[in-house]
Amino acid sequence: MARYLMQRIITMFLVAFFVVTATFFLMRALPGGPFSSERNVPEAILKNLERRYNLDKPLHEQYLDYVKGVIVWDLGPSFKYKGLTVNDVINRGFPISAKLGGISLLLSIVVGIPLGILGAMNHNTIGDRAISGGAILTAAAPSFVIAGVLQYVFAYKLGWFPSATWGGGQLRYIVLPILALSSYNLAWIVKLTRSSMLEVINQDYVRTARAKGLRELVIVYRHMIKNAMVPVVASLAPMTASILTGSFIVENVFGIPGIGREFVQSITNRDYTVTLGMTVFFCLLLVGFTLIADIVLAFIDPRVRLEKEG
Amino acid sequence: MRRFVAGMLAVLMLAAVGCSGQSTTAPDEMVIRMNIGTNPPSLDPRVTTGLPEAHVQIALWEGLMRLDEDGNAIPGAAERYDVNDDATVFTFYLRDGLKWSNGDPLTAEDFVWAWKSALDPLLASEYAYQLYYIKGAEEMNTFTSDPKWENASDEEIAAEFERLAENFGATAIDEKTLRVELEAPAPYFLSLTSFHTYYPVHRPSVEANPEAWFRNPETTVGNGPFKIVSWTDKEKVVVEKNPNYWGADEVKLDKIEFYLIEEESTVTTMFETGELDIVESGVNIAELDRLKAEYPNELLILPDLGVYYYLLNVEKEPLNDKRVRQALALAMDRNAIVNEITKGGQMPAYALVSPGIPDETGPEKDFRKNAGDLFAEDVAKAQQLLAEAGYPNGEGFPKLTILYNTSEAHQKIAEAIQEMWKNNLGIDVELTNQEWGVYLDSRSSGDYEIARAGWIGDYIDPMTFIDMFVTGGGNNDTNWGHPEYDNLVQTAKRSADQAERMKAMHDAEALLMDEMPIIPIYFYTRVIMVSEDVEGWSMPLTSPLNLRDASIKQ
Amino acid sequence: MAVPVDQRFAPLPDRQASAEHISTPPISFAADAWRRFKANPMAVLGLITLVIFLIACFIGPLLTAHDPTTQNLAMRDQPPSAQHWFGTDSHGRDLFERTLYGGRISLAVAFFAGLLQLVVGVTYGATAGLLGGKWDNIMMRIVDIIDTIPLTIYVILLAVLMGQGLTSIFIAIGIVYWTSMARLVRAQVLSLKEQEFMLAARALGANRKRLVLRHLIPNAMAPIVVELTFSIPRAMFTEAFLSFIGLGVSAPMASWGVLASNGFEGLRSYPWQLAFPAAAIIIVSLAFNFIGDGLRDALDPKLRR
Repeated sequence: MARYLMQRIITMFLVAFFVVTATFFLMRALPGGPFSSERNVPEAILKNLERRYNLDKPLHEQYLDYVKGVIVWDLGPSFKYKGLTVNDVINRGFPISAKLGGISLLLSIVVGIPLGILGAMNHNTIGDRAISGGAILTAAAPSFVIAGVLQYVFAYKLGWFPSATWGGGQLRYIVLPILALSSYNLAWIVKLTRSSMLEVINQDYVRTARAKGLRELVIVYRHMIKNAMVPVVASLAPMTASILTGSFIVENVFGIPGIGREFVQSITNRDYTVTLGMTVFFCLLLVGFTLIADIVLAFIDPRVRLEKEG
Repeated sequence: MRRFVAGMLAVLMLAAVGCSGQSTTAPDEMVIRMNIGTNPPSLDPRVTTGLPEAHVQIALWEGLMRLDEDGNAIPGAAERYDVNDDATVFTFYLRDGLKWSNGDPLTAEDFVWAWKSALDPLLASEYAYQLYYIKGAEEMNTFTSDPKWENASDEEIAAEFERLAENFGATAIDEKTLRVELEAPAPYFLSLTSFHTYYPVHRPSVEANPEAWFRNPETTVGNGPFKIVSWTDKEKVVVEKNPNYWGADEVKLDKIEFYLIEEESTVTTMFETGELDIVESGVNIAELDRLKAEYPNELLILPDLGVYYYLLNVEKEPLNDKRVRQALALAMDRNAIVNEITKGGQMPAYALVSPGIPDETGPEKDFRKNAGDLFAEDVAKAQQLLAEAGYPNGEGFPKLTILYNTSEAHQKIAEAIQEMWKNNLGIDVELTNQEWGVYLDSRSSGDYEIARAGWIGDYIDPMTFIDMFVTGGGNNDTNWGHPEYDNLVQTAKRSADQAERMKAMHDAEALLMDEMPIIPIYFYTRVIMVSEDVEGWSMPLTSPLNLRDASIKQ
Repeated sequence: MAVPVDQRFAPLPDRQASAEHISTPPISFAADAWRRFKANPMAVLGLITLVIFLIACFIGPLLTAHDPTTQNLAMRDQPPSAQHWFGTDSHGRDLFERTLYGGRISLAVAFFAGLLQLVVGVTYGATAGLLGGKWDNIMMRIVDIIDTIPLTIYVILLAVLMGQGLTSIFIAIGIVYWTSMARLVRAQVLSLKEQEFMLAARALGANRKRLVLRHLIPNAMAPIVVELTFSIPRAMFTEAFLSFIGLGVSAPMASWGVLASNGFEGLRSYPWQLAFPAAAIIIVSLAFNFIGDGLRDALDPKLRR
């Protein structure tokens, strides 16, 4: 296992390196630049700007400089936000996005898995269909609609919560964004748990356990959940990485200063360093969580052997 | 299990409701909460270019002059000024006892240093050209574009900059007197000194942290009616009354909170729930009909200095034919566009220069009104022009494409125009939307046929519109050029005689509208919402919203 | 005690042969699945709904009175009425007609995305899981790379290179849209491949293709169906996003995703402009969901009777 882990960690950095390289050159291939605007900056001033941000150097030099920076986790200055480095942007926005994302992920798991089990245990009853249909309804309603409707009902009509802003992360400010952020993942976990439980419900070992006269709760817990969790755990890795790095739509509707918006807006602004920094950061999270998910997978399902070739 | 889930949700809801309703400010404080939209890229008045940050800057700083509610320049940091006959030398006399917000004395030298540093090529301010009116300024800022400076070190550039700065037109004669010599006559220079690029900055604070002084409230030292309390990126900027401001007695507000929310539906909801007092940016355009009906006194439509127009690439067939360009311009129903599509009280545009610019040489005292409409919509004439150009009833007309950057507003207008041209001229055009950066690139590289464009004037003079379309001009993406037009612009730029200037610009505009490389569509307005309780605010043409004299009705 | 031969009892014929006779007609896997699918009322309802939508969107517009692009500014933003069933939009265009036309784009995208998930996603994931070890590591890191490089960037480049049109949408979706399926299937296969039935199949000499198609995938149906169901609405909104970047079908034509996004800002004044296209997306997703659930039950080897 130790050898396998080493191998995985090395590939993680190879992936990060590849992503940096590809994103760097793809980004530069985009038309437009960080200083283009409908009101064109005079040529001479553009030259001053390019000099200031080292954009006048040959591309390969800029690339090498950037890679050197990434290695020591210095992600460079933002072109759009003066006086801010990309590290500043991440340090400011990530705790916010991560708090929202973390709570909403927890909510999705804590509510979603029991609901999914409930659906499976009552397969094809009204309750099951309601849970299943409700989940799809939530997943098919676009998140901007869910966010907008939550805001309209609970902030405007009922006045229970503020309409928007982060408010220092106080509970009453974050309830609506958390609900909006949870909806899709919650629906996903419910559906996936339900279907996976249905797979194991008729497995021989479950029948054996039931025949032995084990209590239903013990059967569900000891024999079914563990086996049904394989796909859920596998999908948690990308889900966690992306929810911790924020959602553009939820952050935009609720005016939350997370990094989900940075990702999207930096591309529009051609704020090269911010886009790259966000991408590298996301990449490390994604590959890291995938590794963790694989280890958890091997842990809950002893049959999974990661290092062995088939 | 069901009970558990329901219980959890209930607890979450109740806990949250339980702590709502508390206010973050003391009840006796007079606070205005205003949304300005985008997060400021910077608050350094020397480098910013946008309106959102200008709303904050006008609270934190003050130029030599400031604008009254009608947009006239009135004394700001300067108590009075002198100007020579041909409007090339201005002398400003500062008020007694001016102080920075931290208590340091404010002198004429502070202005000179701020302007000079704004021109430093190493600072690379995008708005440095706003200072080019001052003698020597342009050279100080742009000498680096000479190839011989390409590989120079920062020190070498700094040394050359200092050498050139010896001839800088702005000089401090003494602590309270500032002399400014201009490159050419500029009667509007006086108003320019109220613009943020001309604000002073506090040299010790700037030099202590040149990259990011404006991100730390300690070093964000200003001379305006308010001083900064905090700036949380993408959320809000909070300012409070500045006791060291010369006119502190006139300032009634204790605090202003500038919200930085971009989503229009959210901003509008916040105004409706009373979480915002002023919406400068973010009135939900899609709901204008409802807002007009429900908030007749709060929803305000103010004039703006800007024009929405279509660029025609005159190098592309058949747009190289003047008659085709005219036909396209004549075959639109601009009233339908402003009344049914944009709905924000915009004025149909039949010329380039927006209303609101004074022109004392005509009967109406307004440049636009003096000239009137320079063409009229006329479908029959448009059809005739198109037929003369070889496309009777639109037959054989190639399929042109209207390009716009992705935005629902632009798309709606383009869709309406597409239909109008189809019905009136019998021609089919296609619509293409592009991502912002791609669109800008297509425009500037001439890779389009018809493209949407908009222009907001920098200063209140027709020149801010007229000089866009000189041959090869930096913002002239039409590939159109005309020597006579260029001559007229030069005449207007060189002259200090208002009658001669205005005549040249009227002639230039008439020539442009005859050649029609662009199709004006409407003149912009600013749609804002202000609570009825807010009094004393002002927002003259092109200026940020000024809350210096504002208060809340008790 | 000796039992006398009783005439009331007749000797039975030889039972050896008949006991082993298979009395039910032979039934293929597919036929069996279809039989069980038909027995599920919700699944059938889903299928019927989907067929109705397909017919309505692809044939319906030929029969109706309005045109999706004809404007009438005087009739803008009208609520639903007898003349305009879904009301009108900001230019006075008939929303019913626009929704029908929009369905063509959205349904095409949805079917394409589903197919891609099944063909590329499942195969890729199953291969990675089955190969395991080093190959698994390499193949899944490629998935990580595809998931990490921001979609917006390559979509903008694609828009520059290809311009608008359904093809460019399909390509953009094709590059990225199978990775989540690959992750799920791979994890499921890692867990399945060591199970007894796999050992048995391998011992019986089944080749890789047979292992995957007949043994692994039927047993991994649960996550596959869920992912497939969820990918339908996701694909429709991805299409809207791609349209905003400059791919997709050019205005004035609009897909459901674009119609819904455009309707959102005016939600409180003209709710029908959002409601109808959003409802179309939701109904189609629900239909796919119930078809998916029915399929899962029908294909579950353990439920096979």
